[in-house]
Amino acid sequence: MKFFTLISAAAGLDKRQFQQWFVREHAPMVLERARGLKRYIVNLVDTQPPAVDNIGFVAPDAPAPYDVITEMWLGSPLEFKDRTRLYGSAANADEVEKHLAAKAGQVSSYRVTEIIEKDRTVPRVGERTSGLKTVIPLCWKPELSDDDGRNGWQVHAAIALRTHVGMSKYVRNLVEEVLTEGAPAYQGIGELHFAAAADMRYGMFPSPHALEVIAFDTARWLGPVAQHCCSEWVLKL
Amino acid sequence: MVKYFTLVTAAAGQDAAKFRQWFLREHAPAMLRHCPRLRRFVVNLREPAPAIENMPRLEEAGGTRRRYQAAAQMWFDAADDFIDHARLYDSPTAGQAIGEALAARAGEVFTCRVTENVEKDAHPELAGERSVGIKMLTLAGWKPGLTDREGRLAWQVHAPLALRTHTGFSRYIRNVVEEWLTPGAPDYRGIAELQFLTVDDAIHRFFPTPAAARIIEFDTARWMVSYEGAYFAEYVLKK
Repeated sequence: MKFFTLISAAAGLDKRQFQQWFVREHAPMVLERARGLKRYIVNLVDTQPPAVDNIGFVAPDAPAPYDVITEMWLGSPLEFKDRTRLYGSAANADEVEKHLAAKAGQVSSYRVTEIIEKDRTVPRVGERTSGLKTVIPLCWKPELSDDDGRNGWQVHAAIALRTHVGMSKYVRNLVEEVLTEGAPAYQGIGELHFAAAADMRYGMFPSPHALEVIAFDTARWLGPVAQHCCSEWVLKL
Repeated sequence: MVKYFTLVTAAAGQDAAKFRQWFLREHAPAMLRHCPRLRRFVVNLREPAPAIENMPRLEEAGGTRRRYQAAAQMWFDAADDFIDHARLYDSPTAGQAIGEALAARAGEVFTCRVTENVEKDAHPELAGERSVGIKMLTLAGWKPGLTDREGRLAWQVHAPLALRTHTGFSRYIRNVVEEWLTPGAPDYRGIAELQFLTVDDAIHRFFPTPAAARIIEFDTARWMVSYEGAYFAEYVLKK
């Protein structure tokens, strides 16, 4: 079972320093305490996306609201929701949460269903995965039901695989449950990996027509999105 | 190459089975004999529809249902090789005889030029023989309110979903209608060819699960109206 946590640095903190602190200090603490973690990935929103070919007429993305995005895999919802079970004891949970609260601003967690549409990446534990990864929290168009939004994304997946030929990995995460009170009500989180910046630049929209067909399709189901261009750190596999 | 579809109903009072046999055994060979620029020629004859499992509800277009008994597919190097009867037939006499024979037996005959998009092709064919399995032709229009461009884009989006979902088909071709050459033709904008190696593949693996049917129903409801979906036996008469 997979969980996403979207984290922004506290107001006034340098984002780069926050990201380095997270991956060097906080994430190891989580790994040490959360013994039930099956997999753990930390994504730092620290990467400048390349100028993507053929993207001329698409409206610019909103600024990325998060600085760190984590992915955790556990055996059940309770293993995440029950902080004592997650971190081994109430004292451990207090320690980890205080550690994060000292530097983080907004922290929003979600339980998701992961649908891996493509995966040609070769992750290595403890290392930065080569290339870049975009993480895209998203909502359906407001007038769509959740079923229609999910169906719209399912249809999209097939044309995305055909069109975005530069992707090395494509994962659709359907949000099943918003776990943090007051968190944005995202309905999905997309992950697109590219083995190199050039693959994103030239292989996202390989032709003007590729952009036309994707723009046509997404206009039917996708609401506003914020793209987070990340470096991926696989800390437990 | 330029591709044409001709859809043909039997004239009122004609026995449908006899009409189909005439089309295959007499009309098609005459075309082959007298159309020297015909590069590829496929004749499809209507078959009973199998009972497809999990068949979704597709939005139907209004208007007359036609029971096409034959559908011919013809490829030429250039449009003039078909449109100009002086180029299509090897003699005016032959052209006139073929036209008159067809007019005497056929009811409605509609011809269009299409752009062929081959999405999948794993279906074997042997010239002069009936191809194995069964072929479905779907005559589709766009949902009211969509422009032709939007309808084409929506079908393009649909194609990889269809490839992923309809696991049983061995060939999938999207023919986008570019122009109708015969007056009074229905407003078909696309002709889909879905071919199956066996009838069982059509029955069980066209919509392998209820979920497969639901996603196709969801998607097609956004852009497609179906005028007809009919099954045919395919005869590749010239490769």
